[in-house]
Amino acid sequence: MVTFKELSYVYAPDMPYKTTALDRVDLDITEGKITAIIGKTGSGKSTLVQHLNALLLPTSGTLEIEGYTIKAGEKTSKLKELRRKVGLVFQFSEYQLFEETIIKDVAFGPKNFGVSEEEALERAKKALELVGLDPSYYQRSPLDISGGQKRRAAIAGILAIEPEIIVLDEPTAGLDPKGAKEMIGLFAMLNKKMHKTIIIVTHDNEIVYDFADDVTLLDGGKVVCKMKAHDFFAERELLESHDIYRPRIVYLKELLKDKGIMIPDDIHTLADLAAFWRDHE
Amino acid sequence: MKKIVEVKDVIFSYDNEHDALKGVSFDVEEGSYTVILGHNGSGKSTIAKLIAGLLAIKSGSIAVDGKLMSLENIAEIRKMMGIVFQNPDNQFIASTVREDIAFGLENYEVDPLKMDAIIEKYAGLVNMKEYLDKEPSNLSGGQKQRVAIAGILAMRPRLLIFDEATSMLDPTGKEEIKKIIYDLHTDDTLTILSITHDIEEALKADKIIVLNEGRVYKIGSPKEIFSDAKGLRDIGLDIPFTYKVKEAFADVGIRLQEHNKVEDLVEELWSLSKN
Amino acid sequence: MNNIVFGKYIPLDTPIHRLDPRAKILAMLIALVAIFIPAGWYGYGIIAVVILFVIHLSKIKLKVIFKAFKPMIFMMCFLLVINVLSVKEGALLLDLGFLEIYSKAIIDTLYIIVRLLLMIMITTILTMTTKPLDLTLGIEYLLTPFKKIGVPAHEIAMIISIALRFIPTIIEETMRIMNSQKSRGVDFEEGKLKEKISAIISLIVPLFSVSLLRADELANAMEARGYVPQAPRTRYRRLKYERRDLILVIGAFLLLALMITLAIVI
Repeated sequence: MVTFKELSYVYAPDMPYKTTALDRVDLDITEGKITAIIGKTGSGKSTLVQHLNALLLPTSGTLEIEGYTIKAGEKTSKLKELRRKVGLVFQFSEYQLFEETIIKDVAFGPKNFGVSEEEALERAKKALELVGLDPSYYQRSPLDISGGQKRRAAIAGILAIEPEIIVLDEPTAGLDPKGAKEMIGLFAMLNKKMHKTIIIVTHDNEIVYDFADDVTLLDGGKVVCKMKAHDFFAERELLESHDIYRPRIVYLKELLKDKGIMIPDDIHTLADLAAFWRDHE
Repeated sequence: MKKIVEVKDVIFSYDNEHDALKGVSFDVEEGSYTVILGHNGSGKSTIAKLIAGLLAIKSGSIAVDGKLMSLENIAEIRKMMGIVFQNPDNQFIASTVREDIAFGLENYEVDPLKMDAIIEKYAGLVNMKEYLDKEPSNLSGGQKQRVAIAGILAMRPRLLIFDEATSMLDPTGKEEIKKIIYDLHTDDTLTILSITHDIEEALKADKIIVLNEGRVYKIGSPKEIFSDAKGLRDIGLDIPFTYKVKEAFADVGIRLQEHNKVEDLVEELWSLSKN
Repeated sequence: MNNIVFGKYIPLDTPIHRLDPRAKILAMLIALVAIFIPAGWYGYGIIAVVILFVIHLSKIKLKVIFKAFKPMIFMMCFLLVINVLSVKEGALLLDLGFLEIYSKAIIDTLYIIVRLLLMIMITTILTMTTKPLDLTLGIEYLLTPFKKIGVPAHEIAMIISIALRFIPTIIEETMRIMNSQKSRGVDFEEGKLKEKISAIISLIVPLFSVSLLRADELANAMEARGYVPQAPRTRYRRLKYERRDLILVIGAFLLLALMITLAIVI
């Protein structure tokens, strides 16, 4: 369990333009699940996830994660160990690549965490296989491959560290539909087969609806709610009051409901909807 | 209808080894809203840069407004077109919205005394009038793209190219820009060429050109293009939501019409349920 | 990161903010020359009073100005050490056996430090009270006469203005890449020399390639909007020269003259 307790974060606290990015956040994130963190640009999502591997330390409150407790104002000496357990993939992560070859770049993370050279290369190979880059890519320069492949290599760089929790900030931004689908498929597999906890920050609510177990909505640095993803998108008033873009199937169900056609709450795919229609209408 | 862009057998290569475009031909009709659809790496962005004269073709020809493009007339041809790029940050040139819209006008040697009126007019057109003195760091991605559009419209282009202009934006930003594109399309002296992988946007186009692996896969109306779900999926694209609904219902033996809007689809389902 | 932006423009409406950038740049240059005239402590005292008066007018908090000094502290200590080691004139202040400290060493160092501080104050006032854009426009105007001898005034101004425009973006980018690499176990604060070098490479290489990409895209965007470096363009922003600007420049000259007089008299 990842637990935020009364956690606040203030940017530039001494300056006239100080801003409270997180405001007394209380939040539990369940291990072994896919949790989506959503909210408008500037709602505090990125600030929140940067706390997960101690890139930011709370101004007040505490965070409990992977057996570590991070308290505001207290020096925590084991930040590096925490970062080994919580892998954070930044937005446009392809820009972090810098080594001469892809395999070296992917092995860079594990080596920093004290893994031996051979072991690091082994892990890099495994991670590259997971993201779908075959051995022909190993010796290529990360600058020579396409944008989508760079993104995969960057994600492999985090997977090779073998974290327990994987945090992804807008992992599908700028990818085409197929690339996005494959990317999300990869995270679902890591969750289902390798039992990794996945925390994903995204604007794409279609992805949230199709893949996430839980949803946490942030607004103005505060947690508005935390719910099961499918339940969340059934809360029409909540969605409307926070101006949340609805997944298309949710929107379709809403419109049908307005016409007096009731669709059961447990229908989440078009195939189910069509089957229901055939049987009942 | 008059053709404003004619692309014929264009071959282009970035590295002289692999051709990014392997013989592409298509036309864009004047006043139309044409979409070039393709997955990342299909060559669609290359096409935009070739038409804008930012890259030079290896063989084939591109004609804009009936004039064959060459090194000599590129500056002149460029004057009739504007291009909105993908990354909002990398096309915001000046330090404030006002100055950024003025940038193109300065290049065209517009009288500075006339600039304020022009700037306000086009900032208003993209709903950015209250932001005229804001700096780029205070603007969202969608707002920056709107400024870019205003700066380009102020130069009165006849051909407006959107090169994946929405792909880096959040949902709000995407909607803002798409709405502006649809509104601009009501002006039939302006041709819009949008390069995108957003299939929902493509639904509104007059004509879609689908690119795959540097070749034209298909050219047609949205209806013609999106009826081929399998083919599109094979080349890494998808079909719009309304077509997916039609597909899912067809799988269980219920035939639905093609619709562009979810609302129209719901009307059909509603009338079906009544009978 | 706040250190990097110490000279950042602070949007206020004061008499100093309203001055023409050309006049401000000129006055700054004259004042810089004045500082280098050996007019003794009286001279520096006068300059300091004038500067404090200008700071008061510009409504910038002294605290903010002092922040700009911070990065210089190391350099000042270094100067002190060099002077103490090399200057052996004046009265012997302290004899540590292995090292003798003379009064002139201290006084010389103080001279340099005071000059440096005054210079930083003046340049900080300029950048804090002048919009970056006005600053570049001012530079362009002031360089225009030098176009005849081949100084590319317009290009220089364009380069400066684009650099200023992208500083915040690049700082943000640097932070992001730093954070990405921290997530991959890079320690930017501690570690052996070898690790430090590897940490810096992991920051510099991506930063460099992103910046190149940016530059390329920006060049495309500028070209697509009809920008041709050598071609004539009009300028939207115009500068207006007023009486108060003239007063400023004359005032700066008077200060310079005063310093010269003091230097000769003393």
